[in-house]
Amino acid sequence: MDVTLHDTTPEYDSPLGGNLPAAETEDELRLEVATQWQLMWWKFRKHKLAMFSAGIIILYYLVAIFAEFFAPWERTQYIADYVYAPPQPIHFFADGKLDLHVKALKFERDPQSFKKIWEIDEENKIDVGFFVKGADYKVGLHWLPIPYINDLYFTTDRHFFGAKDPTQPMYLMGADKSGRDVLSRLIYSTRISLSVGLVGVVISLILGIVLGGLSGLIGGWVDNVVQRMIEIVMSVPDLPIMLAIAASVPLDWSVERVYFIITILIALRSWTGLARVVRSKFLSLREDDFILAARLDGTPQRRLIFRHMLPSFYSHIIASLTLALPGMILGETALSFLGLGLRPPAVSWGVMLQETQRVAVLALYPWLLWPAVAVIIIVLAFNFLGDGLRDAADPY
Amino acid sequence: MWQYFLRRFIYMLFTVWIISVITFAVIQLPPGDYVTTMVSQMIQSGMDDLPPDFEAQIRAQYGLDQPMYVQYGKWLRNIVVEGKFGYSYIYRRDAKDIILERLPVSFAISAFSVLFVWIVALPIGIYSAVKQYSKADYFVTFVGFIGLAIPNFLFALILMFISYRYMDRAMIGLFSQEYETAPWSLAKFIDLVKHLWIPVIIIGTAGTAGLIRTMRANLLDELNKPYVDTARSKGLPERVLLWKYPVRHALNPFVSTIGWILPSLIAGELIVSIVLNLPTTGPVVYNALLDQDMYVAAGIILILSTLTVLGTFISDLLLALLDPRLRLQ
Amino acid sequence: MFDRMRVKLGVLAIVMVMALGLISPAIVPQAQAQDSQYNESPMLAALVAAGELPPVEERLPENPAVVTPFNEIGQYGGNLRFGFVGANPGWGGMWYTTGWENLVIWKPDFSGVDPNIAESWEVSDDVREYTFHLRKGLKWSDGVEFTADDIMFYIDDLLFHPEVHVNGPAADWLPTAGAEEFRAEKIDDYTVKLIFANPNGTFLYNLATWAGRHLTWFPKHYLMQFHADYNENVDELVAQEEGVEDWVGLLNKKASGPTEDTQNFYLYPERPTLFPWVVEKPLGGGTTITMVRNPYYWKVDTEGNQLPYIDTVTGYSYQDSEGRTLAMLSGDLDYIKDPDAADRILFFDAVDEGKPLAISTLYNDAGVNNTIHFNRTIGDPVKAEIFADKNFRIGMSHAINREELIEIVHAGQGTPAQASPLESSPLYNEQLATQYIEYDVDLANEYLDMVLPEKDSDGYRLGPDGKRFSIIFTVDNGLSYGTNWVQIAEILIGYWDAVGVEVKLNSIADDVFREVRDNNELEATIYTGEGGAGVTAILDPRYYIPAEFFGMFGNGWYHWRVGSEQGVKVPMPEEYVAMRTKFETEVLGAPTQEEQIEAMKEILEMAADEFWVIGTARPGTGYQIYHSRLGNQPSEWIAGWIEGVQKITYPEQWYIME
Repeated sequence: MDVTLHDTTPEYDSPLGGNLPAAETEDELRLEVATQWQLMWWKFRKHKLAMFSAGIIILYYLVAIFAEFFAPWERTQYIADYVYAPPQPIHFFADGKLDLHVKALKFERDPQSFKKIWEIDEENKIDVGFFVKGADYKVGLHWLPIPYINDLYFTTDRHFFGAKDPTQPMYLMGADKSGRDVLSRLIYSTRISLSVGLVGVVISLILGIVLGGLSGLIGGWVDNVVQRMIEIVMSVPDLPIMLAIAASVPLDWSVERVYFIITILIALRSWTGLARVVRSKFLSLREDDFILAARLDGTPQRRLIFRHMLPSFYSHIIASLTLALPGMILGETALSFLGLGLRPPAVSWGVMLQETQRVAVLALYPWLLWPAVAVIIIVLAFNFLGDGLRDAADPY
Repeated sequence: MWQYFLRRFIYMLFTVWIISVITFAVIQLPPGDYVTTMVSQMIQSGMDDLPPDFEAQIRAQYGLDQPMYVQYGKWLRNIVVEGKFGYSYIYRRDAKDIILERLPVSFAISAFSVLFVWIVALPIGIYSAVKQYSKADYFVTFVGFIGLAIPNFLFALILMFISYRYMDRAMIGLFSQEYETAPWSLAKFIDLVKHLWIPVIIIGTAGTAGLIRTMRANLLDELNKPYVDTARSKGLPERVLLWKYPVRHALNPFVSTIGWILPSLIAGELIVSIVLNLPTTGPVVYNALLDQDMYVAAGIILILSTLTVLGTFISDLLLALLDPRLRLQ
Repeated sequence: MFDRMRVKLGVLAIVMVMALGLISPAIVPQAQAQDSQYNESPMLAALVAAGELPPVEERLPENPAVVTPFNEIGQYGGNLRFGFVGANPGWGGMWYTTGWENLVIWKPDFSGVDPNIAESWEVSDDVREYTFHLRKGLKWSDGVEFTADDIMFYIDDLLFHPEVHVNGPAADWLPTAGAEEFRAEKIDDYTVKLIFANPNGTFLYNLATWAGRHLTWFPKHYLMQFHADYNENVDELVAQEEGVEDWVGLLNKKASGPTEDTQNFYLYPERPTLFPWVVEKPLGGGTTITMVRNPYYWKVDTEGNQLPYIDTVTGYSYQDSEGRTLAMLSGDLDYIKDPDAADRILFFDAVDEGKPLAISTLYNDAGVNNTIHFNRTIGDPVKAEIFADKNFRIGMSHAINREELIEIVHAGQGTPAQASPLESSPLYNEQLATQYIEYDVDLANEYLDMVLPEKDSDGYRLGPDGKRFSIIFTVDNGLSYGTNWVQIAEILIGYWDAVGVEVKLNSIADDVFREVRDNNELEATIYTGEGGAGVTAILDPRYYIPAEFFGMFGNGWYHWRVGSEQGVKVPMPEEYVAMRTKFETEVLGAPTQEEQIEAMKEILEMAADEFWVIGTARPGTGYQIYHSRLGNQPSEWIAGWIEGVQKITYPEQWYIME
């Protein structure tokens, strides 16, 4: 991990490669003078799947931030006659011309089982389009519970996509048990579910670096105490403990506070790993040549830590955090499954998936499983991104 | 050596004691106690005319009206002196009996899952390290990761539903009805295997991703080391080159961390067992927590934690035996 | 709760049969099979042949209870597979199928009570004295005779024992007022006289419900050893037993009561009972509980076959209701209690696919699916005043689009209504049922403007204190029968939002909910809608008179009335106290059936003017799923807690068809 330059050509692209060096001198030169971050970026680019995943993740976060814009409907909007309506297929042409539209649905109810038998209402064509007009709404960062920052928004009445008449049914992913649009709710839920991960990561980052750092730098009894703490946290099965704490959340707490406590809970699962990484890094760095050199130069302790030691493993921290994120997203859904996570009226992936925990849903309304697809994609994306970052973290 | 052993042992006892305090305190956090739950259940079932003093009276009968430190003291005393882990209000027996009845199943499922993880993850990890950044690499890692990405509870329900739809019989629990109480036989074992694949796949696939990643990273590290170059330059065939040293070395680091697998497996097992109705410790802990059957909850958590601590203790000792440098630390 | 009521079974029976439109064969008066030979299950015959069991004639009472099978005489044998959710067989539903035998029992059509453990009875003219004649030779499941001593043991040594009932006698069958003056007399071994302080007209009905269980619950010969009055050395037993602190705890544990969870019954195979099946292997830490037929069960069918028909019962414990649903669909279970309404399509589809399942129609005894309560005893005086304003509730009621609610939540089944007795009930009150049910936003605003005229810039109404009037709507999300309440609440909140009333959803677990209630912090909530069918409005008047346990519109009044220790008490206004007194004296104390109903009609008239709670809609029909091999199931039946849930279908006469 030292920053001295190698003489040999890095072999990262062909670890077993029989076809060795022959690298162009220009390329070699480039490598010699590149900064650490440049090297990492070059290396990261090689992981195509990670690149692709990064794109997906950016897309997810954009959707989360501008949910109001992307969602065709408000999250509580519903049509009573469309309870459990199947997805309406989207049609691109009408009368041989390009004409985006969906067809309305109608149903008859079986008198015995009360099952709805759906039929496409061919007469009733609903035009859909991009940048359609709806009710006024705020878009931006107004939903953040942070003063000043939540003033950053603007008001508009345009939606990215939707029915031209906003009162007409358009259920591209079907409707849920209350006749609400699954797609719109899915888009809204992205916001909570993705930010749970982010906030959780920040918390575990702080805990991990502070405790791991103290442990590695000071050593002695501090190290011992922190080590015991880590041991305890890692030994106690986390789920039961989370259950107990989640069950004790005071009932008069608002959705935001419940959200916050759940984030902390989820973060508590993952800081130990980070703390161990940080600790061992500090331990090994203490002995390292370049640190020794800096110390002999009379560099103050604070500068030593923040200028020399920490930067040398930022990349590792970022990689482990990225890999911790999907666990947190899944943790949120698991808590909801156990009935101890977020509760309606909050909309998160966990809340939405909680309603799919039924045989009846699998058998009769499988479109309610779309949130699961969203979860699977983002968890995979974070994993691949994390892998790419980890590979890139050690570019030499 | 003995000094090191003794020091580690004292640390371990201390850790276990702290865990017992934390566990007991956390379990008590939710409002109310078992009597609250019980009365709620009775009211829910229609008994709305309970005498006003009913709750207080039962609480006294159970000793739940005593302060928490007294309850903790009793609990700890019983564990240390009598080997009893506390009385279960749900099961009306000592928590130890229930734990002993259920833990073997938990371990069996965990063991099968670990086996499954290794069988799936190691080849994928090695393959993807060797063929880094190839299409095949992406494909196998994708397959390896997909299990992690599907929420466990949903995966379980879906597999159970598929078994109902296409095998005509839902694979719930560990045995079919006819074998549930039958003595062990080949047929019963086959029946068990028929049921076991669902939990093993679900719990296993959730763990493969981590292992694939570790394996891949470790192996890549090894492959970059000079001795590999040396060996290659000496004309060692690639296959031998790979298996002779790098793979073995890459395996080392996570053999030593196997002790930590237990808690995460138990966590994964909990949710899967609830959905699949498996007689493991998971659902017992879950019920105990929800119904505030605190001694059972605390007892199981303590036992599992202690086992983990013990596991790390032993693996530390073994490492110390193998590597004298560690003892000096 | 339903304290006193003059009993005239005949009139009531006719009324109820008309009310329910259900006519099914009732129990034939006993004493026709006296001299004929009794038959028994081959399983027991084998034991008799081996000399391990006395012959069936000696096991049955001289005059066994005779049950008329619903469809046909059944076959002996087989195993009933019962699925329940959780680690609690009793509350999971096995009580209602394998237990619950009281002195009297509901007729299958809920038209009145039949003799059960009691062979016959006399009631004094002032309905204060009840004399019960027990069946001679009726035995506990261990073969010891059940006599008047068992009842006296319960009353003298448990109910009135100062250490067992520390605060004096209390039981759910015993009216609180005058409980201390209640007396019981043993006339002879088979005759007991119960004497109440006040007229107690509904006592026989009470006896048929769960509340009546304790009188025949305690086997004296078995429990004596755990009672300090009978066993000087009981402390030795206490020391050996885990989880009990004193002999009362030990006795309660072994007896499953009186001041303990009745659930314990399923844990102790050695405890004698009077039920059709007895525990063979408890649930323990496993997932199954097995029960076996009680060889001394004291009922026979019309041909003298000793019941039950089914030899054994296995209870399967499921962690998650979906596992149970799949097992039921797969044909791995015979019966489950309370299949979810949301699974209806699943089961009907499975029947169509030819799975071995059958379905019976279930009539709910409720008046409405749900009631909405605004707690007028809430601590906040501003809110209490608004909630007590009838115009506020009228406005909130008109704001609800009931047709839409029915379409979304109840699959289009049912009709809009307020909480009230059903049209078929003799207690039907049109005003109570139909007032303020139209969906009319303008009208709603008109009424609300009378109460909360001011609005803020966001369009929400302001309270008299100038602050936004915001209501916390607390929903119990932990009930097996309230799974759609959160959904309903979300929809309701939308309706109220449209008329400018801000309502916030607070969805909480069951025991937390109860804590909120005890602390009287409940502002508004949604609950069930009992009191619809027949005269259940008299037996369970929770939404018609104030200060009932589930009358959360006056939550603090209840605690005040019963003087509860943990609840926040709020004194009830004089006029409401008078209303309760009127109910207790004029309805329950009326000399004839007609007068009771007339008096109750007056009460309902008052309830209509008070408009205590907002109702949603009449319930649609429910369903009960069972394995098609299960015989003697009713094709339709009335289900409710008062009616005894499954017990009204007489599980002892179910049988497994080959």
